[in-house]
Amino acid sequence: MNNITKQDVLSFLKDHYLMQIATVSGDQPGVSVMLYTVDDDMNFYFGTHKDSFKIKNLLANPKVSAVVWEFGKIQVQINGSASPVEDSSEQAEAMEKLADSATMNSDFWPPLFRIKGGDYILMKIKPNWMRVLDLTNNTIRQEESPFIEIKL
Amino acid sequence: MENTNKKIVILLNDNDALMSLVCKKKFQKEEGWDSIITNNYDEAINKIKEIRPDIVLTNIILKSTEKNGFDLISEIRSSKDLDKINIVVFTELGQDSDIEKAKMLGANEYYIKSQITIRDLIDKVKNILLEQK
Repeated sequence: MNNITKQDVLSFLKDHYLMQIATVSGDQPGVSVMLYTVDDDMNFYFGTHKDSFKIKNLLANPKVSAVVWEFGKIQVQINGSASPVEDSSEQAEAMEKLADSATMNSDFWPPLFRIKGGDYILMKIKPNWMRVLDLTNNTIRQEESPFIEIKL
Repeated sequence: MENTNKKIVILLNDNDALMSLVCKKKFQKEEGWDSIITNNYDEAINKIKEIRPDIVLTNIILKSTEKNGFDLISEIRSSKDLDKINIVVFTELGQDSDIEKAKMLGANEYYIKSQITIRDLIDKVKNILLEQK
């Protein structure tokens, strides 16, 4: 697993569609599960209600942490900064990719789509740190650190 | 899973582009239907005339024009060339008067977004297509 590449991580992220995202309000962290998509530069996109606590938190403090994982594969952790997507072509591209993410599982209908059009906001997370945890090894103990930092 | 190989025009989301995209992708991935997203009333009616789709899936409230989904139903039903096209309303509006009006104008079915799942919508559209054969 130590030879895992940035491209491997990108492929993993593109094969998944849910992340746990942490924001902060003052000194209180809060975690949410979000539909996401990722572009080739490892920027994450998600949409949520414009009045949600996440958005209030992020507009006051754009720092964010997120994780995507699958048992038996890898866990990807990121820290970064979130901002609203305001460019219309970037919005269109992000929506197209979010729609792809949303249809990976035929039974999945995320809360995002219960929000009326115009009431949601698209956000972009630009990661500044990324770390991968190897979840493929199931030996009782380990000798080497299973964490790999991915250079962005 | 039966593939109808039919076209569907979706107008419902000039007020929700993301929903339109998801419907289009689900229709394609799960049923193999081709869908065309139209962004306003005029684009929709022009596409309907051009393609003669099997189903028009429309919202009632359209933000891009003074016309609405009721007008679209009327225009389709008043055209000899288009009046066989199935029309399904897919909307936030749940008042009985809206449902009655849409049905009176000629909508085949009327579904309220808060009362139906996307799976059910797909199944109901599929049934309409199968009954038409």
